[in-house]
Amino acid sequence: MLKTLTNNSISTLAEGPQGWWAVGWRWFFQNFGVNENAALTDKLYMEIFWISVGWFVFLMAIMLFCVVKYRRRPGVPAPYSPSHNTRLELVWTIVPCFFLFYIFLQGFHVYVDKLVAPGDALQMTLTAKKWDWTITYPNGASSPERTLIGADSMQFGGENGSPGARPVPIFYMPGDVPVHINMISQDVMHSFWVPDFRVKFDVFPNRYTTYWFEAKLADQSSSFLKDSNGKEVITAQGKKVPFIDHFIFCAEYCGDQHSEMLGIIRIVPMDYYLAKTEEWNIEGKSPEEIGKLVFSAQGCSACHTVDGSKGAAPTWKDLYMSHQPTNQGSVLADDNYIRESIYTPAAKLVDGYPSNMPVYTTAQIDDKRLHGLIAYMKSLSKFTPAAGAPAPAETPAPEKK
Amino acid sequence: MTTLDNSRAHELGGGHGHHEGSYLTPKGGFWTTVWDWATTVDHKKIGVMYMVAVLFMFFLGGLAALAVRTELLDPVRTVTVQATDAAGKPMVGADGKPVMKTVIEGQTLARWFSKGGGEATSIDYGNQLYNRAFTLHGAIMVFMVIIPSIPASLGNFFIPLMLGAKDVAFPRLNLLSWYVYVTGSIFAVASILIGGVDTGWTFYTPYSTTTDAEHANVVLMVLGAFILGFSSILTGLNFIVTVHKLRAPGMGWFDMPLFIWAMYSTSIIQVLATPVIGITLLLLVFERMFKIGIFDPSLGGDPVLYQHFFWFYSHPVVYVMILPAFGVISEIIPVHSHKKIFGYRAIAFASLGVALVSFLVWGHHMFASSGELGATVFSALTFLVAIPTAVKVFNWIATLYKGSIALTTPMLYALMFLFLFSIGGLTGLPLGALATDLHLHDSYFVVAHFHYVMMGGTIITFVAGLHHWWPKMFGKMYNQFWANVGAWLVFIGFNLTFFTQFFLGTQGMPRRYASYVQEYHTLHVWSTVGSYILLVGFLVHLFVFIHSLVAGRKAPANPWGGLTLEWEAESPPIEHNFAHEPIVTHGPYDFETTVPPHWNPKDYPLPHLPANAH
Repeated sequence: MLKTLTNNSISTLAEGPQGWWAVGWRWFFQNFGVNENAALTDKLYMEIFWISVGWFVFLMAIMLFCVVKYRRRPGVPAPYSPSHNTRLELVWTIVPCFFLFYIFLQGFHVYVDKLVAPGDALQMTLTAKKWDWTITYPNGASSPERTLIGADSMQFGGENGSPGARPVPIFYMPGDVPVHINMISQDVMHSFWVPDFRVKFDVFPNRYTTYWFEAKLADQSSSFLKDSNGKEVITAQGKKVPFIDHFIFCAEYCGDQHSEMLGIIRIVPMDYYLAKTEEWNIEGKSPEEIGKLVFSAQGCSACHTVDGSKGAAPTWKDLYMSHQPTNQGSVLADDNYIRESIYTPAAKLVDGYPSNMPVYTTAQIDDKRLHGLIAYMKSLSKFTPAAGAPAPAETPAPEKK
Repeated sequence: MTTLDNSRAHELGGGHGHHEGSYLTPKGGFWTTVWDWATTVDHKKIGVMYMVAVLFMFFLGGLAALAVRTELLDPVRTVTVQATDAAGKPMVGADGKPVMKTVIEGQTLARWFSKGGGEATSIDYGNQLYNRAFTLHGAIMVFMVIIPSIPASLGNFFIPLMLGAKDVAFPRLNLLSWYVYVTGSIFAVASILIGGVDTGWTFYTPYSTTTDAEHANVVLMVLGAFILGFSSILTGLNFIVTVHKLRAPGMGWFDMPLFIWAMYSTSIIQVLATPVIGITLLLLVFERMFKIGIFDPSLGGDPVLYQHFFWFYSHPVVYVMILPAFGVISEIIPVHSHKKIFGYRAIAFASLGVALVSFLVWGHHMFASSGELGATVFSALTFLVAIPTAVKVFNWIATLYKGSIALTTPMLYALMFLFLFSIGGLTGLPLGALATDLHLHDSYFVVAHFHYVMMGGTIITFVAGLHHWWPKMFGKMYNQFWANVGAWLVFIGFNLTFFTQFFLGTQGMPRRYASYVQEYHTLHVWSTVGSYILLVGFLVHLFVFIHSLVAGRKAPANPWGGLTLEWEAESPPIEHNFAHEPIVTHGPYDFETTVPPHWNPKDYPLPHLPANAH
């Protein structure tokens, strides 16, 4: 099932761009040969670039020559020249056609490669919402890992996380294996762009679009994965984990935090990828653990905090069984209210917050995950009845402003 | 020499008969004059009013652009710093350790506009300001500046003059279209004043139908664009009829100046394509206000349908923007190189060809939408439209060959146009090729590309045209040295601003981002510095024009030695343009055989005298 492709052309391309067109390649691009399609895209781009430079220099040279040679000098007549020449005009109409036809054909060729995924690719789904991504792995798990860009993994990030203060999701993907992603949006249009893969496709709220890639695994001499304490991760087999990170950018304007809608695709060896997705699998875990995973994986953490600090949505600290002032009057945040707020978020809006919560379907957050989230909220709230204790007295209703 | 002001000039009516004053002569007191301008049906006055309105909107749109560039000078980031107390001293906690706090840095606009003037605390506020700024910039520049710039101001002023007519075919309709334009602009400015719009100038659904649902900003802005569309349609209709019916005796279709051909092609697109955007924008308003599901999937609509509608108009409109520029260049280059234009018919038919094919390429804005093989057809057609455009560039450069090239300000700008537009055109190739577009789409590469085409093409040419026809419009010369200084500043600033953005695009910087990751910082700084140089360049032009109006030398009727009919009128033209109806006896570019009307060797030293001049 999980066939590791041994594609020879990738390894040769990994040696870097070669040929006349590769001159100046580094002006435009940072890396080469993440996969074959990316390398072919770079090659086509550089070919177009040098063809364009040729034409541009040719035209400008003639122009400057004329401006200097035929500059106006009083009393010096302009020599006669014809203002029409059918043969010349045919030549300069037809010759560019050959160049354009070549570029069109090459563009079409690589486009089809970018469009059609191999039949044996790993199948995943992606949901986009303002302003976060969620990828669901074949076993139903989602990645709960997040990072501030620059804080730990990306060398070129800002000092303490840039841009924005929000951690972005990290999606672990196996290297050297084709991955096929089915994409859908929960609200407006987004666009899934991994610049290193040289492909983007839009994500719509009403139809699936697809994205596929196969990324090269880092070789054994490259940097290795570290945990939050800065120590290198050692797998159960006693091996270090080589990895490469690739940025995900949202490329279709989607509102206030469009420029913070980032993510990271982390290419790791297949065995480590399998171990990770198994770790995040909700099967056999306690409801509270499930809730914690879902909280991060579904992007709840983009707006809700769990430590009481103010986010774009109410904090989950001491939320459960508290009284919340809403546009429908004061509401007790019990299980039913939480359920309603996830599936039909606009029904009751807590005062002071905009109607920003995306609508989840029961397929995205099923009963098991919902119970997990409620269990997680219980664990965060001081109003939660202690196990075995009698039902608590009514929590004090907050004063109306 | 005295015979050069030949008898034909008198016969054609451009002579020195002062039967009536120039169109600029005030009719009376201040309020009489204001009323006269406000109710005028004179195409020249309407052209000038359009020019003033467009330049004002260009100023507004430019301010928004500078706001965008200034915000991008510094990436937004959160940093942990030591807190300070009210006295500004670093705070130290009870345990002796410094008290740290997290602050957001790099949000310039938020710092300027936040009421307390203090440090920004929310990412959202700064982003909202940025998003409003770039939407404002795009919407104003496209709908209120570039589309009406050359057609409505220079076109209005010079189409009747070049055709030898007294006015456009429907003068009252012409005045109406100016008022419609102003009304649309007021709607747009109103939407800014009540809070601004953050949808981008493309108003993509469903974002545009769901954002800020409780406010009317988006509806106002969209209605503004809708109203502006009517102004385009009325102007286009007017020009088509004018070209068909009001050509001077003796002027066949192929005796028309190429500016007229370009304006004619433009008008056809305006009349055919603008109704589509009108309908689309109206549907958008209906969906927002009455919740009719057309584009919004949550109401049963389809957002891709909106994109098809939108680009079915907005791609042809790209040529509404650039074709008039081609027309202006086709005038400036022959006049200032004193050379017959190379391949007149090729240029004329290329204009029509571009207008035709432009209707068939809208799909290339959606290559990244869903990956359909239909994109192949659009890619092929996109390359097809490159051919007539390339042919025009070849023709202009061939015109320079064996000419007599004077580096006047208009000519300098025309040469800069050839430089910038070639880059703009060639960088369209990787966007037209499907594989590379999947990478470059919605990146800064696209931003750079369309600024080279739209600004390097249309705005640069608009400025070139203003300098070419300024003496005719206002009867005053301007200081060419300082105008050339302005031109060079604009050229340098432009390239610094936008060439850097090609690299940003290929390296992965998406457009419409209020912030960015650190690796793009250096290029953004260069780009912003370039935009400030651009500002200085345009300010120099502004002062040169003001100086010209106040203290400029009186312009002769034909300062550059042009052969088209507007140079037979006086500078500035009399109210009815020509004292007698002109008769066309020579082609618009027959420099080898014709003496320019009103030629004065002191104004304009000609390279040589035609054999029949004496």
